[in-house]
Amino acid sequence: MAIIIRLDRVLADRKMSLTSLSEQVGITMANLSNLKTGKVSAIRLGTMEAICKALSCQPGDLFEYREEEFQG
Amino acid sequence: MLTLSSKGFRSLLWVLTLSLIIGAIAVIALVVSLVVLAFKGNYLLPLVLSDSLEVSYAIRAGSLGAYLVYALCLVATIALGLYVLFLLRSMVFSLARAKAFTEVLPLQVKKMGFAVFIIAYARQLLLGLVFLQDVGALSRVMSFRFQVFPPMAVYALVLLVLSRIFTYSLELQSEYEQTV
Repeated sequence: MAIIIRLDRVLADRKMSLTSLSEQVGITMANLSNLKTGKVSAIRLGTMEAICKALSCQPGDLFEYREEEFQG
Repeated sequence: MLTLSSKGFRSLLWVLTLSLIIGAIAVIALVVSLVVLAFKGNYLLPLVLSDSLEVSYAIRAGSLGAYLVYALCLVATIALGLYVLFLLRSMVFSLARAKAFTEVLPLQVKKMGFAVFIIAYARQLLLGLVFLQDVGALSRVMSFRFQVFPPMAVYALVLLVLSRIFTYSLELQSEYEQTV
């Protein structure tokens, strides 16, 4: 996928664990782990809001767009 | 994942399993009797009409070839019917284990649809074969007319549409599960 999720980077910057974030945001560890590894296909605005609030960051800090190279 | 759980499903599962076993035994018995009749030169055509109707006298095929064609079609049609029953049992089994929407469900419904579609026309073929023989007094009160779109074909189309709906439902469910 062209969207890369930088949650692990932001967590490291804030020195916060995934468990702590899970408790603050209110979503399961499994879902957060899927989000961190990019295994999700969509994220609700409410979830994004909760994550940004917990990490004191902007949505742009969490996502990076990288154009996929055509492999022919 | 959406789940359903009910004791009723388990009872239905037992009924379907029993029906399958009895049906399989009946098919084997039918095949044996057809073979025995063929060897005896008695080309009696087992004929069962829909809605519990039966013909009260024996109808015989004019030749061994006609008898064999009819017998093969009959056994194939009944076997296909048992296959539909087997697919239904698989679906009920899945529901009884509280797993309503699985990936195989749309495929099973699709297979059922195609099987019912074939049975719809196979039944007509069987009736057509019977009325090609000397049916005696029956020809005075009944005749065969081929239906381009028999009622069972409509049921088959409903099953095929249902299969497509289930496929779409699974796609939506998958997308929902991958959303955080």
